Amino acid sequence: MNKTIDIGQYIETAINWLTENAKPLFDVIKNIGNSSILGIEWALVNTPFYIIIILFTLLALWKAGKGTAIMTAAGLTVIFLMGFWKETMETLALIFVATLTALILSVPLGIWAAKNKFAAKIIRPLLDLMQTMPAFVYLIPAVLFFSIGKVPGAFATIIFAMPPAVRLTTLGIDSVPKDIVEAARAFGATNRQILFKVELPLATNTILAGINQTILLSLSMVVIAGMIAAGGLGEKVLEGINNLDIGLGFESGLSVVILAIILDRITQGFVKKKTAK
Amino acid sequence: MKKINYLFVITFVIILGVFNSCKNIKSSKYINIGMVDGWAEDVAMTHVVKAILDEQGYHIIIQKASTDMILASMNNEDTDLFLGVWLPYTHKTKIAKFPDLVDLGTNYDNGKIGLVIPDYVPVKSIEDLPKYEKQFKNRIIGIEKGAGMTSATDRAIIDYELNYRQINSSTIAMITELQNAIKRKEWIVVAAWQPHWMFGKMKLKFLDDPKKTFGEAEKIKTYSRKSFGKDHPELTRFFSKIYFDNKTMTDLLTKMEGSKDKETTAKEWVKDHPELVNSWLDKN
Repeated sequence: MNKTIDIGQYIETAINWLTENAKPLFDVIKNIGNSSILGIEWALVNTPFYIIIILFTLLALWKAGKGTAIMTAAGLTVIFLMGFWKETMETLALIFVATLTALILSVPLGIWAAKNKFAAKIIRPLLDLMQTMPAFVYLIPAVLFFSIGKVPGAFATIIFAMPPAVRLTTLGIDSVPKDIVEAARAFGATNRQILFKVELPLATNTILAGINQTILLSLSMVVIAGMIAAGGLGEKVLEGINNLDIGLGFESGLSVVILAIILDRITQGFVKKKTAK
Repeated sequence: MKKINYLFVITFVIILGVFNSCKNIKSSKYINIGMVDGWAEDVAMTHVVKAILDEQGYHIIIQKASTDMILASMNNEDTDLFLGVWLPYTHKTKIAKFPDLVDLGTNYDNGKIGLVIPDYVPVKSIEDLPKYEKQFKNRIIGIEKGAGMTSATDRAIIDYELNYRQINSSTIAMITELQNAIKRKEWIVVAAWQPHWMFGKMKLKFLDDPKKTFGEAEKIKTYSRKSFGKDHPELTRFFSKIYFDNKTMTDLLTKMEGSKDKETTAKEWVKDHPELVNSWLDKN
């Protein structure tokens, strides 16, 4: 295999430079990330399981109706009875922090891409790269920057899960009818008022759909993050694979599926509620 | 107003968590050990160490990842220890990348890597492999791409001028292939290593390696991050004294292989071997 151009070498040099020179920054990020993940995990694991089941069921009942509520209660009970409660809560804490961070980053990026054609030209291919690069590749810089553990897991998850939220935010704002924006401007609304009072409220549904996608993609990253000691259900799935334990692999995989369905239906419930109005 | 309430709850949980985790970080009794899941001897030794040190009041956190990830994490001064470094051959190039890591001692010194066949296949040496290409279907079943074992097998293919392809997937896939072949009495050659429970479960033999491509006896060593000795002077002695001879290692691996709950099995094993464990702890 002869290499005429060595792109990998430039990437490696860049990553190594970052590892050496931005270490204080990475340490700060790591500490904040670690404490928030561990904190949420601590709260979820130490709250009795029935209280969490009740809370989730009520949330489902409020936003997504009776059927989902029953399914939520049953699904979480099955996870508890299979003995994967702690791992499920660990996973939940990880994807909560990852999704929240992804949203904080992606909604402004999406708005920027919608407002500025030049920004859109840069952000689009970046999103393509983030989405199609095999997710395992992110584990390498994640470990070099943050070592093994939960934070690199969240880092890889954020990169992988962010793009749909950015894309759908842009789409949502782009598809606000131009005459509504013009009407608002005619009444003397400033750019900021147009964004917060007209465009964002009208785009909420699309943005929520993006959030929903981000949550589901985070869940699919969970197993891959398990390879760098992120813990949770991913670790159990890998344990099943590494020990050829069909039962363990299937049970932990099933827990991921149950969690995904519950989170999907509840976040979709938020979208439907808005449409009904 | 409602939104502000949610934010308040979330912030509160995070602050609570920060306080809680600060407590954890400052307490030096937390020790991270990297472990490669699926490496029987590494899993067994790590769980034994956990069982012993948990009883001494430490909290051992086992971090599962691959060799290179663990070494990189140790190089960042995060993961404390790794009990599965194979030297002088298998992990030589991997360790050379991280010169700051500290060698704490040898845990086992009769490790061996090489090409392995079932007992019923009448082949003696790697040099004989070209004669039996058909029977072996020109395949050597290997483990993960990037493993030290895998590059050694690639070297052997060149050294012995073999017309064989190495099939790489994972350790467990290799063992499954081996088990299936033995069930059907087929010919198979795999890349494998000792100590491993597969030698207790199946009748296997190493092919002779006259060119020493796979090296001679290997030592399995414990490595630590650079300043582990400074942070835990009381533990470096313990880790340098851990040593398994052939008999104890085989016994431990056989017990661990059949067990569903590795932590409990390790605890029982520690209870069954008080003299050995106490000699590591300087309690005799």
